[in-house]
Amino acid sequence: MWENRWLGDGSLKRKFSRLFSISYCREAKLRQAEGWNNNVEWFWRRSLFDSEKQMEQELVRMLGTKSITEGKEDKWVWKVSDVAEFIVQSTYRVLRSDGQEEGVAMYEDFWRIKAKPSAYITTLRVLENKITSK
Amino acid sequence: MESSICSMCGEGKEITSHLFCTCQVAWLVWSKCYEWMGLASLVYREPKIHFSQFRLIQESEVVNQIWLSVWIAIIGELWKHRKKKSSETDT
Repeated sequence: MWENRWLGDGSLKRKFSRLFSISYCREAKLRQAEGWNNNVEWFWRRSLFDSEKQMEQELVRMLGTKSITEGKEDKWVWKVSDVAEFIVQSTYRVLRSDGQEEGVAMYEDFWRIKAKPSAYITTLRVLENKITSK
Repeated sequence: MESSICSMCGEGKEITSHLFCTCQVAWLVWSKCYEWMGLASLVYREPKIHFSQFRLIQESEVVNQIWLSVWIAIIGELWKHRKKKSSETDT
């Protein structure tokens, strides 16, 4: 539950690093985490400070947004493509755009434009912030 | 890019976003274009955003491609101008 990226933008370990550091069960499985709010002592090495209590609430809230499907095996999902399966083309798109979705559209425009080669190259450098002054 | 003082305006730090977006000299050129396009003169800090905003929504893709080639040409000219300016200050 902590290590993998399954909820929100990154791993819970990163988002709630403080809580993770005092978690008893760093290898907790999601199933264990479910319904754990009745059983807080089980989870933390020490009692929480006020600021950590807020984090805890946020974590509970986030966990509450997902539910577990019983009887199905876990699987990895490739989030970049629409079909949730790994396809090479989606990887290529991510690499070319540096992971930014709007970047893809921008370069699609860019490749179609006709311009003087020297200006074209300068522009590429400007857009990628790779211009050298010497 | 080294962050020395911009050789076009003599103010701001010479970084990409300054040279091609926020520099006053560059800005004179861009605002002319915006006037020409009939757009409000906004100052974009980030070249990528600047590039993606340099278009007319009501116009077709073909027309916008022409505007984008104008954008590219201006970047090329600004860079040429900047190189000329910096060699002048060196000698």
